[in-house]
Amino acid sequence: MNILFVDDDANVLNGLRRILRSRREWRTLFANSGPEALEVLATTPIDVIVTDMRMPGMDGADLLHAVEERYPDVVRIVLSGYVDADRGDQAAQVAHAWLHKPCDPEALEQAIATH
Amino acid sequence: MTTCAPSYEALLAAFPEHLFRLDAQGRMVTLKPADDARTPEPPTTWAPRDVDAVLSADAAALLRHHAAEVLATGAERVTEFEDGATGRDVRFEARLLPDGADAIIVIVRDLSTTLAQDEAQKLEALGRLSAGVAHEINTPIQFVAHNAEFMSTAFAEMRELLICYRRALSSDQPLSWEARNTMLAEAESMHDVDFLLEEVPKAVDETLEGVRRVAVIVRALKVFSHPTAAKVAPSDINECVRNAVIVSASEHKTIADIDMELDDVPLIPCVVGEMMQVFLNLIVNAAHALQDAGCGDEQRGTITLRSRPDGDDVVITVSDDGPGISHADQQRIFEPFFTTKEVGRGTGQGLALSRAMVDKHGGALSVHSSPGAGATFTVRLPIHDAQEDGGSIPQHPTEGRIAS
Repeated sequence: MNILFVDDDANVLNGLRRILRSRREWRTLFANSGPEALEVLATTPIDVIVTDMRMPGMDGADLLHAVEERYPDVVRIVLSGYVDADRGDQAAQVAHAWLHKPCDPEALEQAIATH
Repeated sequence: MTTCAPSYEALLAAFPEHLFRLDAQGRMVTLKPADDARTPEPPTTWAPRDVDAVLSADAAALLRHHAAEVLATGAERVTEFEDGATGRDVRFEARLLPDGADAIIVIVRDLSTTLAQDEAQKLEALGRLSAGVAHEINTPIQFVAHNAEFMSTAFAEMRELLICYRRALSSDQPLSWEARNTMLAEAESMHDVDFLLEEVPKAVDETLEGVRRVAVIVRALKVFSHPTAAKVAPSDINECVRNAVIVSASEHKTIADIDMELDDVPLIPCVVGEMMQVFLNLIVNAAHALQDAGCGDEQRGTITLRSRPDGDDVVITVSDDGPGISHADQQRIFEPFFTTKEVGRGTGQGLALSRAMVDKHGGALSVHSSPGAGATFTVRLPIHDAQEDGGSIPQHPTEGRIAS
């Protein structure tokens, strides 16, 4: 299973990469922004996308809308430390699951495994 | 013949307050009952009644005392009183104005609703603040937790590896060098030792960075929990501005660059927690204006914070290079509940509350904007406390003579 993580904070991606290293059955990919995530999606088959909400330029809601439109089979998960009521509603419409930071690895693994 | 003059009844009905006339003998006539049923006087006829029969003994005595003063001096007075006659303690403000030589007009306002509004405004500001702060803390906590868990498994693997090395070197298991090398190379590969050697130091560094990030935010927030934060004390206004920038980072960091040009300024006597709320409001408003103008996508906006001494004042400005504010909106921008933001983004109380807080400090909050050329909000605060002799800024209007 190919999982793409998107966050503008490189430290968050590094933490995820280290913690998920033991899940050998998962191939984890990482992107620092919405446009970078779309570039990865264009070249690599992705099963699950896990994205932050607040990012400069294209935010998580914009990204998930684009993913829903272009790659409807990809499972869409939000992993955010902030709930902006307005943008949150928009993302909630296109997200299959919503996880809050801090999120323990088990909850993340469970969300990914059950969708 | 038609006339534009409103009727006396219509004029009175337009006021929510309770109005009555009180004469020198303590007899009152209700001119206009309050809209709010809690005020201590039900709608009555024009028949005069003794004030002691309407209000509690304490409240009636207080009103009689002030009424006598107003009659003696001819000057207005404002006082506050509590009245339990309605079954619960409710706080009222009474304005007493002379009406001829032997009577006064009293205007009574229910303060509990005003206080409830103040509380609602503070809670809204606090809610917005804590949402932003939660984001700024949750993100580092997320990767600090992941890194700690990683380091825990990494240590377990290094421990396994160490056991392999000890076994390989132990004398009761004599192995050839070749056999030892093969065994240890296998163990190193199984535990991905190259990965661990590279990643563990990075995980440590990033964990420390995350902890530092949380510490910076918590330090900036300390002003709210410090016992002196709610009192007037000489305060470093530049530090207050810097802390407001840190605490509001989630609102502006994806949208704008922050430019700080803070001159050396003297300490300002102020309630530092309140001034921080003022700067937070102004910074968040600037960020929202820039975001609405499309900043954060291709180009970023700039929020400029400046401070400088100016005569007996210190002037702090918060400017953005957004689309500016129309002249019509500038006229109304400090009114409570005036907002151009969509529902859910703000209730239009931030600037009204900010102006009230700055006013309370004897300062002034103003706006300057030319449509198309950004907006600048200016906070002007006096360097010297109006009450140098250790007095504090009143929390609510207190009893006293109205300046004429």
